[in-house]
Amino acid sequence: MAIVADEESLRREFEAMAARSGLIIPTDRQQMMFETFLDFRKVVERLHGPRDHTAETAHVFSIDHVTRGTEHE
Amino acid sequence: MSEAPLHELSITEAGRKLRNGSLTSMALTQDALARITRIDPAINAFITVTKDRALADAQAADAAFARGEDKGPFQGVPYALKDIYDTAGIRTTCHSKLRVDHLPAHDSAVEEKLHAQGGVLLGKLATHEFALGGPSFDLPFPPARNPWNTEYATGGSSSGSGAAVAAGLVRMAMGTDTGGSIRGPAALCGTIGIKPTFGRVSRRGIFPLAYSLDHAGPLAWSVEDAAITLNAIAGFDPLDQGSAQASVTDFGATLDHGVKGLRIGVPRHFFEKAAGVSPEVLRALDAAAQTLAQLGAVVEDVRLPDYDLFAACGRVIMFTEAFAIHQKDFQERPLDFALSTYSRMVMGAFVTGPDLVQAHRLRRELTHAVTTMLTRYDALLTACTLAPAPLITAARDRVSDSPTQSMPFNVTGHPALSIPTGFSSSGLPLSMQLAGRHFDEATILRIAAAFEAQSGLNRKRPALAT
Repeated sequence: MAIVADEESLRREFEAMAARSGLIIPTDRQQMMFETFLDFRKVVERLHGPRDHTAETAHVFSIDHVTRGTEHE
Repeated sequence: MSEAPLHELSITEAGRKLRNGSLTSMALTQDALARITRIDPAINAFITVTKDRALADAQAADAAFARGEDKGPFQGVPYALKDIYDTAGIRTTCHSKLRVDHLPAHDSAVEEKLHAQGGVLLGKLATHEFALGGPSFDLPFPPARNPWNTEYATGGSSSGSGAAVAAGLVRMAMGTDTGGSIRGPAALCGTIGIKPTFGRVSRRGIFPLAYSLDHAGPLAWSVEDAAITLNAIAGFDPLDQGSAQASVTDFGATLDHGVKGLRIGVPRHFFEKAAGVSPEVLRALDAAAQTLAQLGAVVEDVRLPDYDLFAACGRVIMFTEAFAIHQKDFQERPLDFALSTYSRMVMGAFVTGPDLVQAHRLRRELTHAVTTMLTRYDALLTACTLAPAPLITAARDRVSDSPTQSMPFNVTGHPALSIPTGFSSSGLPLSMQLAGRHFDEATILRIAAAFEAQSGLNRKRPALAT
């Protein structure tokens, strides 16, 4: 069952994540940023479709790519 | 018949005159500089006009012609760069207070190529700050304005590129596209704008917005000029980690082949009932599809994954990568960013590790879906912007909304372009988007050329450009 977060817990989540990233959001921007966060959270929720372990990411580590250009440095 | 004014000459037409001696690069450049002096104060397309450099480039090009040297179609032709392309010794500001005095030591790869081919650099163009956000009035430079009506926005983030090309200040201007930043301003300013396949054009020396979504490409007044530009700048660069080792063909070779027999899919469900879609945009899209069918293409509706999935995937990756690049400045200098940049980019701080992994898993699924569809169709036709340009002072949309439906092909890396389809009742440009197979820019340029020839829309310029 999905957990429905209330506004207070969402605000705590917002503040904790901002602090974890080292952000001090200016006071006069905090409400606007919280509302943007709520809007963005809905965007993020769209990503979480059902997938099993075979669904590999699009940015798989490739040795060719990470060594490219080193001979030019 | 009277001669076309110099700013109306295409790269091919200008090149013909430069080569037969009826025009000098110096005359072409001085005309462009005079137009910038006269017109740009109304549209703010340029952050920096490189007058001395342009005159020196023009003199060098004329001298090369005199010696019988020919470095290709750009020799003697003026161009301009979005101000996130590094230019050695010329400030590259990203339209931001944070880099207002930044003088790069080296040229970007694109600038290296255009300069080596004898092009004439006119200057550096306005952008949304760090290629994100919107038209902002809290930055060191004013936002670019739409030449069709200066009360309206250009779209972005390649805002100055769209405005400069539409106003006839330059034939071609380079932009970048992470979620639609070439195609959006091309659509709202009535120009051609092409985002090539991911990896087709080197991004070395371009300030990144999001490494895995960034593309470099041109905005131009005609399809042919866009194809000529791609010929000049495409190719593998071992110093760009995303560069592709793909063969480069002549992107203009099939521009006159028409569309007979080509199969074009229309994911109508992307835009038909999207929030904020304009009936005028829908009518123009239907008319464009009908035109292509009348020219001999097979045009059919197709079904792809929901548009919202592409948008969510792209935005989460874009904001997260962008935040990682700017995190230190967001911690230490938050008030030096424009509010619209800050409010968007900081959303990257609220993405968890699993969120980002899910975005990249979804990205593979979406890319597979589009690639599979393009085994049955030569191209896709869809909306670019959902409405004509908004007022430049209009409130920004929420992060969950977008007036531009260009993100799908940043997520999947397929080439995509914007081309005008007509005008709104208020006289602002309307557009469509064409997307094609990976590394098959030639086919979407071919379709666009056929449509452009039929519509004749690039014969009309904004009033202030005449």
